[in-house]
Amino acid sequence: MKLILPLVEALTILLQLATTASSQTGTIAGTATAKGMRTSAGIVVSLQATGLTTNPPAQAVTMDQKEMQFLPHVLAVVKGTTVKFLNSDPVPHNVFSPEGKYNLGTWPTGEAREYRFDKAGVYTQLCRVHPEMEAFVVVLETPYFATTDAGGHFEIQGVAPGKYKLVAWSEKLKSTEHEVTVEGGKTSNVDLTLTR
Amino acid sequence: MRARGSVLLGVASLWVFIFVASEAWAIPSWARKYGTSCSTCHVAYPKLNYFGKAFRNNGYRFPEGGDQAATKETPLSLGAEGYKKLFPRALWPSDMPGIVPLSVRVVSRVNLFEDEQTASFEFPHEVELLSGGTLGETFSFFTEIEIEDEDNDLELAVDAVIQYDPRPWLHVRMGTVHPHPISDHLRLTAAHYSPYDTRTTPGSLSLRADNPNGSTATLSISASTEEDRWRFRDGQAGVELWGARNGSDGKGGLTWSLGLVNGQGLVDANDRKDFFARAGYKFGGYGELGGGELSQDLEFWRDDSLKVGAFFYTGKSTNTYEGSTTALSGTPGTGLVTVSADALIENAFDVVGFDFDWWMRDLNVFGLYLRQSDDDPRGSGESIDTDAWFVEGNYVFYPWLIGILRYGQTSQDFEIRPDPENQKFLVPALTLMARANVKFVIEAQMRLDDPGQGHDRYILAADFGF
Repeated sequence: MKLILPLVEALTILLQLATTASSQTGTIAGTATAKGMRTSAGIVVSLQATGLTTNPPAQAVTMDQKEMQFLPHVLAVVKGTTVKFLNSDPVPHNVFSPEGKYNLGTWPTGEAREYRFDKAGVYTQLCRVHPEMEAFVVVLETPYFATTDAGGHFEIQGVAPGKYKLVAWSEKLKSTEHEVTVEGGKTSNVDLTLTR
Repeated sequence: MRARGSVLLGVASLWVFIFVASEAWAIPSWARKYGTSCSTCHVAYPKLNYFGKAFRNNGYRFPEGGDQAATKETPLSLGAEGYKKLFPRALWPSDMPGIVPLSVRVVSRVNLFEDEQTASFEFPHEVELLSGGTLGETFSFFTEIEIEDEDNDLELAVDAVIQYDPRPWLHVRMGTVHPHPISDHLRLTAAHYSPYDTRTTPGSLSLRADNPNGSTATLSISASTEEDRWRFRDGQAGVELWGARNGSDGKGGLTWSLGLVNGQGLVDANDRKDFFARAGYKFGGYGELGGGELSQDLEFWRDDSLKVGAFFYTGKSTNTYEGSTTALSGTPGTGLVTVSADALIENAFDVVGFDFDWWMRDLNVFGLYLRQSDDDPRGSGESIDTDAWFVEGNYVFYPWLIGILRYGQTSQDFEIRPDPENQKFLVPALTLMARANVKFVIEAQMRLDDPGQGHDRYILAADFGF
């Protein structure tokens, strides 16, 4: 009995350690460089695998139209997310998408229109009143994604350990794919270069 | 209306005259100022869409007070706002463009003339140096220097306008103004609107003078005028009060204009100023000052609406005709002498008419009718009444492909002489927008009346601006 008790305790500790290790999440960070481009901002880096579940936010995510630009220029969301398109300019704006085949109409300052993205893909956003305006809504089937800053930096936290396909998308360059392994409690560094 | 002075420029003569309206043109400087595309304001440049018209009606400013927010190029301050509190002990603060808003437009043409059986490369037909913008909150300006080929002569056209814009319903414009209602300079074709082209005063006259040698009682002397002969199409030096208001619910609205102009020349050809008045009302569609009903279609040119207007012009044209010839002297053995003759023709005239502009989805039909009544345009005591009209349809097949068909007639009723045959004009054309600032035009200019037969002209034009 004296021998059995320490053994059980030891097994329990081992089991706890194993459970803790598997429940710890990892981080993927790195730099995505847009070769030949003025900026590396707006690259959407995502981790993809089968069986991932996504929970769209309860509140709509906003994309503004301000100073004749869409803000942000690239908006990454999970499937099922509703995007609220604002107009903060003193002139009418419109939103339509060639891929989505929707036209939300034209509306004045202070008003907004909403659209729910139920299918993964990249949706170009255009304003028919101001043809120079353009933005992208990138709809993903993974909860693990990030959009690069001006320096191309990205960080995806809270990733369940495992093997993933890391996909980097840019509006003007070829997408890239890499196999990555995420380990619990660790940060894996990945540097990418996107080219034409 | 041309005030001409001749100067040699290389091998070509250069003519200086007033030309071009102070209306909103396709000025890439504005695209740069606001960081927006040409098609924000144009169906296809220079034809304005509803937003471009509202921009013009707001004194070259974004509608609904949004100009400052929309401006991307930082203006140069000419005084802080606080100086308003010091006025009149300080200059009223203002600003001006931080970068000289300079634009260039180049038009080249291939001309095919049916009667001459020739094709000529007119590369370029014209080069325009354009500028326009605002000077603070209540002044705006527009300038243009244009060099244009006219039968291998280079003509220099200068246009300069300053405008005071205290309110959108009141603008005071001084410089080149346009009395006619549908702007000839915003058309999509090379062919001008035919009703604007009538010149009732002749370019030359046959005068009589005593024959010094008596072999015949009189000599016939061909005399021509140096003064520009009036026509409705030309820009004129003058002052114009004009404005716009939105209609009910912000839709459509009223535009009005009153003007006082020389009629002819920078130095007035006579002691009387010409006067014009215009008014129009737009039913439905986008507000004349912006706002109102917004089209929900992707087709940015659509503005379902009907605008009707009326206009009036009254003036006096004055032309001096001078000519000379040589004849044998009346004194035998003294050789040849020069015999001169001149005549002054003063003609009072009125123009009255109405115009319309109808948009229904991708189709725009517009036109006008005018009646011009000349008191004595030929110095013979004979009056002439001119009836002229045109109707044009534009169909936007695609934003880059616009079909154009225009038909017009001009008929004249002479008091004494037999009336000339009605002139009938047909202009089919196709505009291809290769880019928002690059376009090609294929156009036929046809005459359907008997005297005009065999004089058709075909044009392929390339046009770009930056």
